[in-house]
Amino acid sequence: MKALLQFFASLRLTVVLLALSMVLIFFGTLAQVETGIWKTQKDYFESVLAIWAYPEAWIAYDQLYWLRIPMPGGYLLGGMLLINLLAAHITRFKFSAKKAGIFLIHIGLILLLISELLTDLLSEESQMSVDEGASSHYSQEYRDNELVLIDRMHADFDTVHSIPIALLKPGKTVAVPESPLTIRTVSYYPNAQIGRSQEGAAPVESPANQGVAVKMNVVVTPTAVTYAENQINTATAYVEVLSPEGSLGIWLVSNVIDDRFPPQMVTLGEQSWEIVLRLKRHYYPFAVELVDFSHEKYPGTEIPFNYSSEVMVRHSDTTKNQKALIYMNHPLRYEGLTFYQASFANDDRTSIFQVVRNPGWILPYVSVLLMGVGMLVQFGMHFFKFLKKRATA
Amino acid sequence: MKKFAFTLILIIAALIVASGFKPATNTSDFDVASFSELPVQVGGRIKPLDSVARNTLLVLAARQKVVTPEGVTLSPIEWFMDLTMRPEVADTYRVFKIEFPDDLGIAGLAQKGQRHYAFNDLLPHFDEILRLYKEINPEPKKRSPYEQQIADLNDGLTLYHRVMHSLHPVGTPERLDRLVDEYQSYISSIAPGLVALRQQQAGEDYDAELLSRFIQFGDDYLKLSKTAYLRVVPPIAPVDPLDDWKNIGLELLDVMRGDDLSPYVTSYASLTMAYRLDQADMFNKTVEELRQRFIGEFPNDIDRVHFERVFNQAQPFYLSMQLYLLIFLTVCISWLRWSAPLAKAAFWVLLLAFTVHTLGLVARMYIQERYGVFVTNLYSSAVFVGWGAVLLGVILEKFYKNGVGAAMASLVGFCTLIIAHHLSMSGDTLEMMRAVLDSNFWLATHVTVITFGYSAMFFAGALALIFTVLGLFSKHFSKESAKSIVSMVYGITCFATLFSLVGTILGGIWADQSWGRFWGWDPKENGALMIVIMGAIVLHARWGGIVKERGLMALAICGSIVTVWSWFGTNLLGVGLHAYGFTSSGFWWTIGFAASQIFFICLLYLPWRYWRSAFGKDKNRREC
Amino acid sequence: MLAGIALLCLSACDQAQPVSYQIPKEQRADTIPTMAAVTTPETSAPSKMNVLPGMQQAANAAGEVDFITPEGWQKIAASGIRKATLKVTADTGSAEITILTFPGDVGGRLANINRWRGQVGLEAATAEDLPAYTIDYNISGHRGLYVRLEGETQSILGALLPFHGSTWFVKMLGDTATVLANEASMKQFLDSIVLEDHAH
Repeated sequence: MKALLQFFASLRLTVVLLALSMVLIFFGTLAQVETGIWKTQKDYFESVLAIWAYPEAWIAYDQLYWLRIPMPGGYLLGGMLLINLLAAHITRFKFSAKKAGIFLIHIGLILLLISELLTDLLSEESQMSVDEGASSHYSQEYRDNELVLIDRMHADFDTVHSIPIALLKPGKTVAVPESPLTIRTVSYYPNAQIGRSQEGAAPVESPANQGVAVKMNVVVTPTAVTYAENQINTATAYVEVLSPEGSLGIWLVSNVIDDRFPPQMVTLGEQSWEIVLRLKRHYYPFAVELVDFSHEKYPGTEIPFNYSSEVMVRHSDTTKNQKALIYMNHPLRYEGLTFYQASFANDDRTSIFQVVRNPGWILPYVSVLLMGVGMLVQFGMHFFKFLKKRATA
Repeated sequence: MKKFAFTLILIIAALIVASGFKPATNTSDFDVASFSELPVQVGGRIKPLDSVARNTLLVLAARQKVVTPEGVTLSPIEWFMDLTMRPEVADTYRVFKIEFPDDLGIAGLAQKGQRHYAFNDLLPHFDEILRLYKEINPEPKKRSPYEQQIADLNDGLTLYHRVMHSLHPVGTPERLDRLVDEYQSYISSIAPGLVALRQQQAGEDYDAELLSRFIQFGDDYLKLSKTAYLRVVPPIAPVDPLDDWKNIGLELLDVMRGDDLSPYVTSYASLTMAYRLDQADMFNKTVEELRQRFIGEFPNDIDRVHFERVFNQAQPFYLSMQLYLLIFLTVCISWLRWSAPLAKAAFWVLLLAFTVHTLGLVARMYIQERYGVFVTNLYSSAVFVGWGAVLLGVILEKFYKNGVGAAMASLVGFCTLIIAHHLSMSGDTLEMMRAVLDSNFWLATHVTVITFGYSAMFFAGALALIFTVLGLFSKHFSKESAKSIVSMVYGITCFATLFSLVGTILGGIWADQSWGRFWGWDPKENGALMIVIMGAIVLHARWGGIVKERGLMALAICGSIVTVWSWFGTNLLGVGLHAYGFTSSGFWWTIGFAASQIFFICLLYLPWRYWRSAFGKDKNRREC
Repeated sequence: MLAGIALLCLSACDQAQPVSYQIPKEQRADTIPTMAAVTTPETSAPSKMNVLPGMQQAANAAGEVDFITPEGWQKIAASGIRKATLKVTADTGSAEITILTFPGDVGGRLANINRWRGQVGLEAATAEDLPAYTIDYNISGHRGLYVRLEGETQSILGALLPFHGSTWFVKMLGDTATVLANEASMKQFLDSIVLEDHAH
């Protein structure tokens, strides 16, 4: 047992783990060229094992295409480093004023690692796009989709029934909550080309008998998933809507079939729902109104030097109404969410915010504070010792 | 003899510095100096024509001088004057640099042994160049070297054309000779022209010839407004620094709305005419008029514009580069002979070089009005890395007094300034920053600290290199010398780790304030993290006794490799684009540097019996 | 502490469940969801909408359109699924004119007009009401429908043209005063439109 503890506390282990971390980060950075930042993060840094493949774009690919380098992933290394640090403190470090600096630095580091883990698990990022003079009460995810059935029958509100896309597995059924309907997925394509039928392409035969697919003769050609930063995958599916009385039909739904197309309606007797596949939305009990968006450029150029949005947030609980100015490096923190000025569109008439919910956002700041104080103490002590030695020499 | 050596080095240094401040020789009667200080607005800031001339020439020719067919060497501003005011002459000057003309695949273009081509040389091949340009990869990071050459040539020609037509409309020499007349006849044709236009639209009778002349002016100036690169016409006083200036075309068009033609336009026209007719008096008088008008309207900016011209001419970083070379040579010689006086001389010149280097950085801050911000782009990061290393070298030299600090500092300073020089080829190094980066606080803190971390890592690596060289080849390298270098490397690495960690954390905080994510696993962030981890490895390995002298040096050299990856390697990658930057020239330099460092590590691990130094022999004895 | 982290992991995995909720009444808007810019320093922010793949293909498959820009109108570059975009500004405000085309009838005449009515703050109409603000109108030699919708602050003058299996939409949307003042120009514009026609 003691030997095990010694092993986990050893400085050699620290050095080995750090070296492996460097290797992981290096290959992870190379991998980002192929699969983009988001996917690489999942593959390399939020995993236990990562495998690097020799890229097609490199020379000697024909000879080396088989090359795969496995390495411990972020969670494994992070976890091991945490254990190593804790073990070292338990076995070797006796608390003394001299070591106070190192203690603080290490505690700060532990906290930072934990906060990053929490961020991976808990943080949610989405975007909210608001036109000038209009307001929005929802934000939209970047990659995750949902299948929704919207009931607009009630005069005062709409009811949204949302099914996460992960549940749309071909052949499986999912009950739509608080409604008599069930969804059976016929097929699902994470990315596809949607268009009118043309010769040449090899599209999927359409099983749809309702909606846009039939009226506008739209067909689906599945394509590979893209991880490029600015591209959305056209998530597409053929779904069958079942009621207690039997099948109501098969619709083609896709996140590209949006408000520009006529609504696809599912009708059961007196009730009707609009069926839509779209990027997942988060609705909030408040609306963000864009009062004014200004985009200042350096004179005589198109280079932006500041974008700022003047917003008015109206909450259903009017005591929480708030006016704010959101601009680069100056977000709005409101109701556990943070709104950042991300971008703009439509010739400066639409402002786009990045909306982040991260309950642990303060942790990195605390850890930084601890590390900063620790470093000052530690290196300060060293430096004074060094000066004293030179003075007496 | 000793005193002589000491004074000689100082005199050489003084001469180098003085060369930057001697006024440009001007053999003509034209007041080129005043002309070069006329302000224009380009790329979002107000700068003197001198900067425009230098930057344009750098982009086109990769150097700051032009040799005419007659063998006369022109300074950038003199070339600019010919380009804008005597274009037919300028078209014969060889200003377009084509590195591999044979590779372009354009028949008849390449001339044997020539790497610089004149506009007239390229004119017959324009169609071909344009056709090739349309076929290249639109993604710059994915272009082959061939495609990059085509792109550079096309962009260079466009820039040339646009700058040429910045002071006056596009036209033949005859037209340029009569510019003032042209403007007057344009102004007088506006009112009757508008009348004729209205008549035509209402279906009434109108003067067709008058109308067509008027429309021709309009079309011409419309084309000009899209072509002219420099904005030479400031708005009417009082002027807001964020207001757009107008280029010649826009101003001429606005006259149609009833505004008066800005006196700046007519002044530039008469400058052109005077230059073409060789009337120096007229030219100088007009320049002075323009200058006075600017002083009156921009009392706050005119000093900065003048300063920028002086700065351009002094080229402080070029001076520092030469001084660093001098210092390095001096220290190397001091290890062979006359060590005391030469070492002292080297230290003084190091201080001098550091001062010049610092003044250069501060001057940039003043010109950009960003006080406390050392680094705004890749170019300035290179300059600053050198500065940081030299600062550390000065401090080390003060403590250890053995020339090692000075030598390695000057080596790093020299190399980084050469890198900076190459980076300046893309144009204005004082360019504006994109919105998300535009925060003086974060630029002054995060960027400065991280770049200082780079300086320290490179410096530690350089110290390890000298350890290797001296240890293997210098008989006098003793255990004490080795020990002092070891403690230098250790101290600098501590420093580097501290700064890299703080800098990375500051970056995380900045990112959290900007887009809500403390750490995004971005290539640049990853690179910085790798440096911190490398530093941590060195320190933990040393504390644990896992490495001794050789191991520490090897790790320090690895630190240099990791730093070069973080600084340049990550810039080459086009994330999500399958672009590894293989075709960029920076790629080969990065690989070359890494290979050279690995070579030194191999040298380090030669068995002790090959080490000629006292230190090495001692090690050999102990371990056998 | 490790137990706490384990619990968190489990809770994070537990996301994929269907759910129902209520939201305030929504209009089906005319905007396409836009993508945020990549906020890394190297790229510059896009100021154009990103068009989702299917739309662009449909737009590209349609034919070309020719027209004469009326005096005082400014032509802006057509982008994405828009076949043409123009703008007119005056002291009374501004208006934007767009030409778009879609395969099929996009829901039918009434649905489209009601969509436009929604955009200027008018209530949905029934088929019987249509003649009150529509009239047959010839565009490019084919029979279309001219639509005149006067809202309080914003108005629309537009035209719908079924054309060989697809529908073309020409719409001027903007501040009421400016839009109505430009009605003559709008009609001139519609008259000048020529669509690429392979059928005849």
